[in-house]
Amino acid sequence: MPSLPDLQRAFARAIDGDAGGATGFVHGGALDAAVRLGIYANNVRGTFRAALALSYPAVLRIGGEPWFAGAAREFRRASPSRSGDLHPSAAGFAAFLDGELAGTELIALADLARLEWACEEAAVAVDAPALDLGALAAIPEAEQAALALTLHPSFRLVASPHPVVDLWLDAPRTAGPHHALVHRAGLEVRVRRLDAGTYAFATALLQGRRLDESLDAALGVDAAFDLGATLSMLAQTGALSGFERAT
Amino acid sequence: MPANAPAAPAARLAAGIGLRAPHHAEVPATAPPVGFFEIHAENYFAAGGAAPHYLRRVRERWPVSVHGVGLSLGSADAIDRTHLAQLARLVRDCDPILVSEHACWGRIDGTHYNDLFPLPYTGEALRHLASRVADAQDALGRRLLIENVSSYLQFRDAEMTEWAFLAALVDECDCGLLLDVNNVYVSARNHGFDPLEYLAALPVAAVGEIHLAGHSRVAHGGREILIDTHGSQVCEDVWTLYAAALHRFGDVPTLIEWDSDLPPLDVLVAEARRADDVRRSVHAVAA
Repeated sequence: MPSLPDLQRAFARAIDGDAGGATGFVHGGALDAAVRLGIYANNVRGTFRAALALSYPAVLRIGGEPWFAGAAREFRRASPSRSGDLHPSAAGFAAFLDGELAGTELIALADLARLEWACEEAAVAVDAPALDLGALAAIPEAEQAALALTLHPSFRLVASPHPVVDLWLDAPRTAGPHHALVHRAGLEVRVRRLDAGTYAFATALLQGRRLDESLDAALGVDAAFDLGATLSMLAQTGALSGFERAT
Repeated sequence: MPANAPAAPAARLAAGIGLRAPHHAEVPATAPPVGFFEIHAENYFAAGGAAPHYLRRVRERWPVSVHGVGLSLGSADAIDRTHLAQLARLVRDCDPILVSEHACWGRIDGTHYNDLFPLPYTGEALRHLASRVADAQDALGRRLLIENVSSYLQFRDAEMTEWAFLAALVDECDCGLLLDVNNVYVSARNHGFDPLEYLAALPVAAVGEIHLAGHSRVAHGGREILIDTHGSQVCEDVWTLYAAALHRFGDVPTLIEWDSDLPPLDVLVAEARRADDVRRSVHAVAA
């Protein structure tokens, strides 16, 4: 009689496709032991696919069901769940697709997965207040340069050579590259396409750089970058939480 | 009320339903007439956003129960302390009326299968599960209700029946039981035992909640096997078994579980109403 750990290891191998060790532990009866173990293997695959589909609806919509189920199966094989909560195990799907889809016409789906995971992270990020634009405006202009903006904890950036925002929206494709800001305002996850200058600015903010340094980064990409308009866009959409005087 | 039924709790609770994300906004807006809402613990581990927001809204108005599906209490692996701490934080935050998990395992050597695999009903597995339930109860500061799972196989080396295993578990670690009547029915059909014998063996005072759900029937090589899918209405046989369970265990809180192919909210509410009708017919609860 196997010990509990040995029995569970044999059962797990059966789920992963090698039923040889476990069939001897299981009553057959009306159904073969391998068929009984196969029901569990099927449930495990189905649960994992369903959880992945909840996180990546756009990848599923574009890739289609047979492909998605196969990708989910291979992804689970390469990167099985480590947690009793399946949600975090979906995190590495974009990196997995980078390898799986390299050189194929579906390669844009890897960055689309990156965008969808940013949405998933934004959806569960801690709550935080929105920036009070009036308080920012009250800071004398000469002192604003030295401020560091506090981004909303849901603030994420995604860049891709592919038109991932259009793919995500199921909209007519405009030319890439696409830069996207993802964040949550209240309960709503928002995806907004950014121009290259604004993306450079947002990237610098995300790196914790001061407002003047972030402005330099933006102007380096786009000489026409408009700081005031960008700040008010970021504040109005709810992507900023506050500011502090950098030291 | 039958003579052998335990005293019903002072505050009888109308049947509850699961709180699921597609119904988040509709529930507080329409206030469906149900007794309580049950959450799958792992769906509410998020630090912020919609899940904790709607849980707070629902909690303002209804009692809530917390049902864990991922702690893998029966695993030979060490207990997942991070998961247990997340569960403890959730329990602290929403102060549920009931907290439950399963008599099963799903993780070995660090890999989680996120399923409810059956345990071999051996003395070794019993002692292991009992020590882990005791550990979890200490960490949560709460008595846990442990749920029987559906199964599609039995282990050759079983030393006792599932019902004897659960009764012994209650003795070993002073947990309660969550009796899933559909799971009893599914396993009884799959393995050919008498579900009434199962109910008769469970300690009456331990059963603190009942689950009702739908299942599906699948043919394998000409043989039918029932699969616990939580994706359809409760079947007539399970309603009959539910009445038998209410006779034996008293008017315990009852939940309609429906997780896949989630229907409109009013379908769930109608199932809960039907459970209340059965409760009234068995226990003559005032309407």
